[in-house]
Amino acid sequence: MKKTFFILSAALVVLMSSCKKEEEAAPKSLYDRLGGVSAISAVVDQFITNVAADPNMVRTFTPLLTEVGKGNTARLTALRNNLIDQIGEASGGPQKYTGKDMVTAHKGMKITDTEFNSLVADLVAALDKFSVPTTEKNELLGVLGGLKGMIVNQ
Amino acid sequence: MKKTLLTTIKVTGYSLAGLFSAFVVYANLEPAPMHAYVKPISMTILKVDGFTSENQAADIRTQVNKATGVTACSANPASQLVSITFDPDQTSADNLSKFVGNLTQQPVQNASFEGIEPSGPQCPVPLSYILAFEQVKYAFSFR
Repeated sequence: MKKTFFILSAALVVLMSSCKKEEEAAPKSLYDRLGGVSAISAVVDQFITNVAADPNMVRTFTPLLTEVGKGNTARLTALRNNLIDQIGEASGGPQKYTGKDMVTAHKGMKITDTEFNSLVADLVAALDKFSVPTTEKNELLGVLGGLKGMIVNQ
Repeated sequence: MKKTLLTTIKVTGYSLAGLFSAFVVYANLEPAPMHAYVKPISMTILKVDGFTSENQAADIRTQVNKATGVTACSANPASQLVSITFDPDQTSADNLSKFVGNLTQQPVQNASFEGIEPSGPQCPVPLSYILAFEQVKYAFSFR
């Protein structure tokens, strides 16, 4: 009886340690490596301020900038929420983007290549401010760069 | 008369309770998104006359980022704009405007974007209504 108990206990310990090894071996998602929701929201805030001060972005963001000037932050909040959810989801986080699809959201805006490139430069500047490592930065830019076709010239 | 009134109150009560229950079920169909747990921010965009060099911009960014309640700041000499996001519970647009004015010793005013034709689709329902509805929904989310 005692022997059986020891064998079972040993088997349980081996089983648990092998599970732990598997957990440890699983690579961290980009979301975790970036620092989770608080880090993403800090990057998003910096990105939004970069965009708001960028002369190349004024045409695209006129409705938002005008409302912010009047003290109405509804558009700003909606944009920020969508960016947090979208970047969180794209980087493997628990967020779920529930906004419009990229084509519908940018329909009629006629965003040019220059404007898109300025937007990417604003995001890179935000990531650089928080010293996001090159690997994580390139991974994130790769994910978001795939959306270019759905945003430009719509 | 009294019976009719009681029936009306009863029916209205049951209907409201039913609607409320349905709303609570709807609010709990999915967990609240992560953005619901992030503190909301406000933003101010300031036009600073006579600010043209990258050195000045770097100085503004450094000093403004140290100010209480500021979550992010960008200063662009090309547009002469300083944009700041902040926690509205800790500071205000007026405070930050004064802060930037003292820092740069230049005239500071709220940037104006009037007269530029808006691009893209405009939602017929004011976004503030949609955001308020979302907030009520998340308040009843227990997931």
